[in-house]
Amino acid sequence: MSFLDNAAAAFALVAQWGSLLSLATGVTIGVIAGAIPGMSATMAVALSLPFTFSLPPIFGILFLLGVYKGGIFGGSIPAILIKTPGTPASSATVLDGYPMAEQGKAGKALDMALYASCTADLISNLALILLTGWLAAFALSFGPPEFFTLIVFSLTIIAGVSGDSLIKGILAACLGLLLATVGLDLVYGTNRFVFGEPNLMGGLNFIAVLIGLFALPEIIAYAWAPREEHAPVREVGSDHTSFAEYRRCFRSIARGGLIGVVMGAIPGIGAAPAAFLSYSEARRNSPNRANFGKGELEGVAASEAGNNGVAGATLIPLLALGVPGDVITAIIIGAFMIHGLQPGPMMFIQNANIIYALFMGLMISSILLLVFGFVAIRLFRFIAVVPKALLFPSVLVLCIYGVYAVNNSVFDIAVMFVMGWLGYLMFRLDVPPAPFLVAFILGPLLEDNFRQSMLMSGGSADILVRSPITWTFWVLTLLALAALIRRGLMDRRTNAAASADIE
Amino acid sequence: MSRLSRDVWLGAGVIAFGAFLLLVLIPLGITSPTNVRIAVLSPTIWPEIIAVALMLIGSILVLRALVAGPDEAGERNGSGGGWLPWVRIAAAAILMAALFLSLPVLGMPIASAIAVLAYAALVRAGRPLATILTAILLPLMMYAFFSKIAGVPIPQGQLVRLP
Repeated sequence: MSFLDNAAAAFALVAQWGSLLSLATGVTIGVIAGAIPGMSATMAVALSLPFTFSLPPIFGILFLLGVYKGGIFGGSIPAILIKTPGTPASSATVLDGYPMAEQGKAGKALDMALYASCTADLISNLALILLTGWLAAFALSFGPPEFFTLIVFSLTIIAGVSGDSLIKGILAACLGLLLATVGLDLVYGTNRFVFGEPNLMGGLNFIAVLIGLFALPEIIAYAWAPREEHAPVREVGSDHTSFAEYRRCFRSIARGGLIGVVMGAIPGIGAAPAAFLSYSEARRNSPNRANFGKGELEGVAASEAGNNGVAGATLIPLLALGVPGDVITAIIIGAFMIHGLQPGPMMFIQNANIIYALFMGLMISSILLLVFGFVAIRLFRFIAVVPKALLFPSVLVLCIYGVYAVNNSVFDIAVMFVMGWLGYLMFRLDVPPAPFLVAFILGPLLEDNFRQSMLMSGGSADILVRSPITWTFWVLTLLALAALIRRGLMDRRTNAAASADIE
Repeated sequence: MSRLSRDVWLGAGVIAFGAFLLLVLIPLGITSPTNVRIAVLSPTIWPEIIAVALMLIGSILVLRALVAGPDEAGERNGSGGGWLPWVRIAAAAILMAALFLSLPVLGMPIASAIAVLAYAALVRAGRPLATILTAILLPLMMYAFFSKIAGVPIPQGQLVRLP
């Protein structure tokens, strides 16, 4: 099929009430979930996933993307109004958003957060559309050794940047890889760690693992310390952002969007670092830099542009290479697989209409975000009063029904509970869960590509350093490791110096 | 527990688990065919690589904790608050185990309704009316969606059968 045929087929997929309704519902749920302190965009996407099984693929995936985008913006509402970021990505928004709310300018800050989010989202979507096809075409020349080294590179970055410690990130990734080996062996079809349990022969259910890791630890942690503490909800007020103010901040918004695109396209980095980098760059370049941290509108614009600029760009490695860049895209790759789609370069050949439909849907989602975000800002007072003591048992119910519905299996509920306690243990030990999940998802792909490479080379490891692409990924992996180790040493020195100062 | 001792224990645990994996779990849990021509294609090779990596990571964790000393950041997840949090955590574990075990008898709607009430009591939620409404309505709504719209046969148990 030609480009035009695919584009026409994609338009036919998107121009249905079902697609638009899925997107709108997803954005609404995402904004609400992101705005509830205690929920996160990740949890919202994970809990929404089981509701998409009965939907056609395009409706289900658009719904999840809507939840993702809405969730990232929604986190800014409590960051501004109650000084509690709804998602980690909105942490930088607190710096200027809450001081503005204290000054009675919450409406202005929220408006700017929304406009900056939608603009950066649009920039991110455009980057996705422009870059993904090119990257996928390049990736078509990848063989098993190239994919193996690419996945090793991605896992290294994710392990390094997900927590405070590289070594604990690698530990989490190793545990995820180990868990992924449960089930039938890919080459010989023999049992691995099945121990006579038929439910384990197909491997562990990915949704049970992810919901267990990302939703249950919050519920358990709340049982440990049940506290409802946040600053009082500030009034939105009648002060709103004017077009002149938006134009004044546009340079920071565009810069933040581009920072988000670059950081989102690199696996593992995520929205929070992008928001902080965008914020610090805006402060460095702004004529109002002295006002940053005291309620500067440009600060809100920059941080929101940074975190929303990531949203579309994280889909670049997912769609082009089949490698999820963060936890949310790892969940979305699961949605693709459940609907029989395998993201990666081949998808551009076999299901190009779906790819183009997703691009169109993402562009529409930016407009829907503007509309539903505007309404959510006004309704936040009702969202903020959802007590965690009722929220978390409700999440528990959603987890149970959602996990059961995947395979109609009570065994999966047991897996979810076990993973929940493992996730809580990891939380207590400062071991990040993101590398665990991404390694669990990429584990079969990594092992499969490793063993295919060995099969091609007759068992010689030389094949893993045979092509310039594999060399590039090895060099990038080593550079990333060196940078991460250096950062760890510097952090340790800084902490030691701070401790010495206190003493 | 300071981060120093915690990381030492974590590292030691990881080493022990890696050794257990290599020496016990892999030989017992993985069936390897006898006709594997290339050793690296064996079903055991990947788990063995992971086991060795785990032992290495555990050793680095122990060494790093011993050499570098405690890190102040480690105290943020500390176990302050006396024995009450431990009681609540144990109760949460019992709640989840009981919920799982009661599913075949009570069915998912009733078991999850009881779980909502039990968790709310555990964290002293207050708001009895809102809690009861959530406990009744949410499981029923989930049942209605999954059973009637998504076509998923939700377990109903042996006590009450919903339409």
